[in-house]
Amino acid sequence: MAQPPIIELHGITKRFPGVLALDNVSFSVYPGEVHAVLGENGAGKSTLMNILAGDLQPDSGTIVYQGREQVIPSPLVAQRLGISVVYQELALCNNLTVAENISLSLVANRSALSFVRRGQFADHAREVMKRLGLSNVDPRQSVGKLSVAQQQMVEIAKALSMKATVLILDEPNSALTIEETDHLFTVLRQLQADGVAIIYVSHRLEEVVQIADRITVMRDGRHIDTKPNDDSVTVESLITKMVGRSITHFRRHARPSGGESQPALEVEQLRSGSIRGVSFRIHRGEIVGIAGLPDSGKDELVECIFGLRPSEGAVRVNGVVAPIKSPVAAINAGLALIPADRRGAGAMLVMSVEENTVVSSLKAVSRLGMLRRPAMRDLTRTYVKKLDTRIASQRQKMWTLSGGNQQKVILGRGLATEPSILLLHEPTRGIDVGAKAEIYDILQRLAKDGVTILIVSSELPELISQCDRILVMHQGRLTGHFDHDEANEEAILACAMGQATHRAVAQT
Amino acid sequence: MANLGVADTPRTTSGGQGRIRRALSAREAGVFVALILMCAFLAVSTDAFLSSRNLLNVGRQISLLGIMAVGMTFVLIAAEVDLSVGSTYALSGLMTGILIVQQWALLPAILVGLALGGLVGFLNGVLSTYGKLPSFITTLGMMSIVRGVALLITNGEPVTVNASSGANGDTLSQFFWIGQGSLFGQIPMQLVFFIVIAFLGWIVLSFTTFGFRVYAVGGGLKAARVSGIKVFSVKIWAFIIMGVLSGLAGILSLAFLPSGQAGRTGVGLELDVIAATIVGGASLSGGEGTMLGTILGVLIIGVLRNGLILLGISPFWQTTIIGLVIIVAVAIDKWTTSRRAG
Amino acid sequence: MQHLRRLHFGLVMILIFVLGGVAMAQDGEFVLAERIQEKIASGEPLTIYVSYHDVSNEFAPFIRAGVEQAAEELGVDAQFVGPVGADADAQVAELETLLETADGIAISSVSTDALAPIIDRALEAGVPVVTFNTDNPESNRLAFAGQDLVQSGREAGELMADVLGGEGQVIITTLDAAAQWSIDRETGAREALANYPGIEVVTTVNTGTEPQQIYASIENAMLANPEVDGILSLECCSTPAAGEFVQRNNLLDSVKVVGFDLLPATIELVQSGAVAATIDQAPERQGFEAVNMLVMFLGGEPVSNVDTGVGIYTQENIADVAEASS
Repeated sequence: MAQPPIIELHGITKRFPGVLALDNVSFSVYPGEVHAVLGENGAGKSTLMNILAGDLQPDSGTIVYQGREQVIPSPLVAQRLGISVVYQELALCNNLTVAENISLSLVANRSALSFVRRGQFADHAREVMKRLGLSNVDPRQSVGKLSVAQQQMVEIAKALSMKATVLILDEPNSALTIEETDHLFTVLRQLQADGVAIIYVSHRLEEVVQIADRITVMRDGRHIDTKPNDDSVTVESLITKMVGRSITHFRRHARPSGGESQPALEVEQLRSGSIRGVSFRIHRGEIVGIAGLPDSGKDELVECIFGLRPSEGAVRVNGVVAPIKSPVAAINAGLALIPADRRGAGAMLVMSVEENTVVSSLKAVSRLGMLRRPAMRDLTRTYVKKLDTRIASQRQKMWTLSGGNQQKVILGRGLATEPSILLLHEPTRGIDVGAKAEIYDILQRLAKDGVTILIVSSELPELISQCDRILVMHQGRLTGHFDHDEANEEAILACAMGQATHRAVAQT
Repeated sequence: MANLGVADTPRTTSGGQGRIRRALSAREAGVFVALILMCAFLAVSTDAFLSSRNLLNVGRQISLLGIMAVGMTFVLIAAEVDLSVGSTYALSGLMTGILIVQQWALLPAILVGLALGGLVGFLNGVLSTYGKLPSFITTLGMMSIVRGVALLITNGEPVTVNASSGANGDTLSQFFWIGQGSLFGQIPMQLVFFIVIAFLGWIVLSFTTFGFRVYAVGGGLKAARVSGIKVFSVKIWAFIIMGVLSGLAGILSLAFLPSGQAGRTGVGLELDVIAATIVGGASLSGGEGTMLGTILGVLIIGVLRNGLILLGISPFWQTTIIGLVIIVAVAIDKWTTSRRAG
Repeated sequence: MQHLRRLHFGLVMILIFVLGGVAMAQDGEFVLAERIQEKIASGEPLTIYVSYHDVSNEFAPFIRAGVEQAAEELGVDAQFVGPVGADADAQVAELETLLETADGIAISSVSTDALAPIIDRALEAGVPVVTFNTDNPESNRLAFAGQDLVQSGREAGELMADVLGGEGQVIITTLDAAAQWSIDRETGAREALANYPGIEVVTTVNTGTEPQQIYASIENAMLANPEVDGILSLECCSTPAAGEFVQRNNLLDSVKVVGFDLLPATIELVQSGAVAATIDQAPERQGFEAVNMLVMFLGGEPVSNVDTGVGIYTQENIADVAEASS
C-alpha cells in the first residue's frame, strides 16, 4: 500500500427528509485492493455508493479522486473518471446480446446518428470477456437467456469495458451459487492484480472475510471502523461492530428431539419435473432444512408441497393424506409458506401491513362475507407484537418497510393461519443481520411451541445453525441426511454436488 | 436506500389519528378539491350551472357512465382492463329492446339483457385467466365480436321500442318509467340507479372479503395466490360484475332514449369509463383505487362536459380539454407518489 | 402560357407511364376494360359493388334494400359492401380488393380526399365508377345519384324560417360538424336563414354519434341558451333526440324542431308534433339509382347526375309513411 489512495472521502454528509443518511464519513480506498463495506440496511452504504457513482450529491464533505478534489455530478462523469458500479439489481438490456450490452457504453457517448458496427461490438466484447475468463458465454447470445451468475459477469465485463479503475460491486453475490462465487472471486483477484480498486458491498460476512483486504464497517450513517482483514477478524466480531451489540441467538436452542411421536409432515415418493422421487418425514416441533444447488430441485420441492406446482406422490399432514392441488388446499391442511421472492410472491407492496397480515385468514376476520375491521386490527396487532415488527402504523404501505420488517409481516401472515407446518423458502435472503437474528429467534420459539418447520435455503450457515436435521438434494433426489451435530459445510457441499451421499436412504 | 428512514422510525401504536385523512386518501382529496374549484368557477361564471335543473341533468348524464365505472373499478383494481364495455352496453340494451318489442314481459327481457352482459364478462374473465391472454387483447377482441353480434341480431337496423313497433303498452310504460321516470318527481331514475349501484359497489369493495380479495389479486398476483386466494375466480367475478353493469347501463340507456342502433350505441364509451375511473385514482397496474375516488372521477368528467358547453366553448376544444384533464390528473398523482417513494 | 401547358401535359404523360396506367385515353375519356367488354358481349350477369361509407348506420338497411331491388329488377349481381363504422382506410382497402372482379362500382365516400384516388384508379383500370348518397367531386366519377346536400340544407333552412314565422333564435345540431355532408347542409341552411333578418343562428352543436351523448349535448345546449326557439338538426340522429327533448320538457309550443330523415322514432315525433318537419332523402331510391346508373352505362347509354330529391313531411302528410312502414 505504498501507492497513494485512489479515492479519499472527507467528512461526507448526506441528509434526507427526516433522516441523516451519512454523518461525516471519511475513509480511503487504494488501487489494487478489495475493500469491503459492511453495514446493516439503513447504515448508509448504498447512499455512499450512490454518491460515488454520481447519482447523489453530498450535502457537505469532499471526494478526492486520484489526488484531486472532484465533484461527480452525474453517472456519466463517474464513468468517464473510471468509476463503475455493478448494481444488485442487474441493469442489462435483456433483449440485446452479450456483446451489445458490453459495448453499450461505446454507443452511449456517441451522437444518436452515428453508425453502429456490430462486428466491432463482438471484437470488443470478446476481448473484455477473455480478460474475465468468460469463455463459456457466447457474445452473440441474448442476455435474457443467461443465468443470473453469467449476467453478473456480463455486468462486470461492461464495467471493465469502460476502463474502470474503481469497480463498485453492490451485493454482487446474493443470487450466486458457491461455484459461481468462487469464479467471481478469481476474477476479482485478477482485476486486483491489474491495479483496479474494488469496493465490495455485501451481507455475506463469511465471503467478505474470505476476499477482502480491508473492511470498513458502517452503522447508522456513521463510519465505525476501517481495518485490514487479518486473523483477528471473525464473522462474530464483524457482526458485533455492525449491530453495535453482540448477537447471542445465532445458535439454535438445544431441544429434545421428538423422534417417537407420529410425524407431522410425511412426503412420499414426490415427483414433478426435475424432482425424481423424494421421501422424508418431519416430526412435530422439529426444524428441518433442505440444502442443494439451484438446479437440485429443492425450490420446486417446496412449491410442490404447497400446491403451487403439480406433482405426484403422497403428502400426509399429521397422518392424514392431504391432496394438495392448490395453495388453498395447502392452507386448509394446516400449511403456511413464506415464499422466496419476497417482493414478488410475498409482499403485496401497494397494500397496508394490516391487509398483508390478514390476507390468508379472511375467514377469521369476517362474518357472512363482511370484513370485521376490529378483528383485522386485533389480529395484526397480535402478530406485530409477537414478531416485534417495527412499523409506524398498521395502515402503513408495505413498500415503505425495510426487507426485514416486510419479511416479519409475511411471517405473521403465515402464522395468523395457525399452521401446524411452516414452510420457509430462503427466509432471510436480502435481510440485514439484525433482522436475521430476530427471525432465527422466532423460528426457534415457534418450534418450541410445537410448530413443525421446513427451511429451504441456499445459505448453509443458516441451515447448520438453525436446523435439527438437514436434508441435501442433488439432481432431484435426496443425497444427504445430517443430524445437527454431524452437519458441516464440506460434507453437505459434497452431497449437494453429487460427490458423496450420507445416510440418504435411512430417513425417519 | 428504498427503506430510507422507515426502518429506523420509532414504533408507534396505530391510534385514531387522521380519521378524515384515512377516509379521503391524498388522491381523492386532490380530485375533490379540483371538483369543488370547478363547480365554484362555473357557479360564478354561468347562471345556469347551479340551477337545480342543470344539476339534476348533470346527475342524469353521468349516471350510465358512473354505473359502468363502478364495474371498471373492480376490473382495474384486479389489475385487468375491459375494453368491451361499450359493445356490451349496446348488445344488452338492444337485446332487451328486441325482446320487449316481441312482447316479452319486462322482467325476463331485462334479465336476459343482464345475463348477456354477465356472459360477455365471464368469457372475458376465463380467457384472461385460464386462457392466459392479457385482458387488453381478449377484451379488445371481444369489443369487436360483441359489436358484430349486436349488428347481426339487429341486422343493422335501429331498434325502436314504442307502441307502433308492437310492444305491449303496460310493459312499455314500466320500461320507460325505469329510464325516464323520477323519484319524488325530481330525481331521475337513472341517477337513482347510479346511487344505488355505487353504494352497493362501495360496500362490496370496501367491506366484504370479496372486495378485499380483488385488492389482493391486483396488489400482487403471486402473493395473493400463495396466500390462499383463488385468484382466477376473483378476476372472473370482477369481469362478470363489469359485464352485468355494462348491460344494466345499456338497458337504462334504451329505456331513456327508446331507439338504439348497433353501429352507434355505446361506441367509444369504454374510453370514457376507463378515463373516469383512472381520474378517480384507480391504477392500471392494479391494487389501487376506491369507489369514492371513482365517483369523484365520474363527477369531474360530467361537470367538465356540462361546464364547457354552458360556457359556450367550441366542441373541438371540449375534446382537447377533457384529454388534458385525464393526463394532468394522473400525472399529478404519479409525480407526488414517486416523490413519496423517494 | 403555351409552353407551360405543354410542360404540364408532358409531366402528366410521364406520370401516367411511370404509374403504368395506360388505359386512360389522353383526353381523360373513360375506356371500358377489355374483360368487362367481353363479359357484356357474352351476356354473363354483371358484378356490381355498391360501397356505402358505413354499413352499420341506420341508413344502410334502406340503401341495401334499394340495391337488392335493383339487382332483382335489372338482373345483375349487385352487392352491398363497405366498412363497419365510418372508416376511410377500411373502405379504400376493401375497394382495392374488389377492383379486380368488379364490372362497376358505386361509392358513397367516407372522406372525399381519401376516396378520390381509388375512384380515379378504378376508372383508369377501365372499371366504371359512379357515386351515390355522398358525392366525391374531387374524383372523375362518371355521375352522382343522391340528394344535393347544399340544396337539402337550404330546404331545411326555409322550413325552419317558415315554422318560426321568420323570427327567432336557432341552434343547429349535427353529429359530425367536420364531415363534408354536414358542412354542405349547414352551408345551405345558414344561407337560407340569412334571408330572414329576424332569425339568428346562435351556435352549431356537435353532438357526437353516441345516442346518450347526442341527447345530453342538446340538453346542455338548451340550458346554456334558454331563449332558443328552433332546433335545426342536419341528420337522422339528432332529429329524434331534439324531438324527445322538446316533448319531455313540454316545449312543443315554444321550441320548433326541423330535421332530416324518417327513422321510426322520428315518424312518431312528427305525428305528435314534437318535430315540426323532417326532410327525407329517399335512401332506397339512392341505392336503386346507384345500380341503375351503372347498368345503363354498361349498356352503352349516357349517364348524368340523378337528384333523388327531397320529401318534406309534416304532421299533415306523415300518416302515409307511418302506414307504409308498419
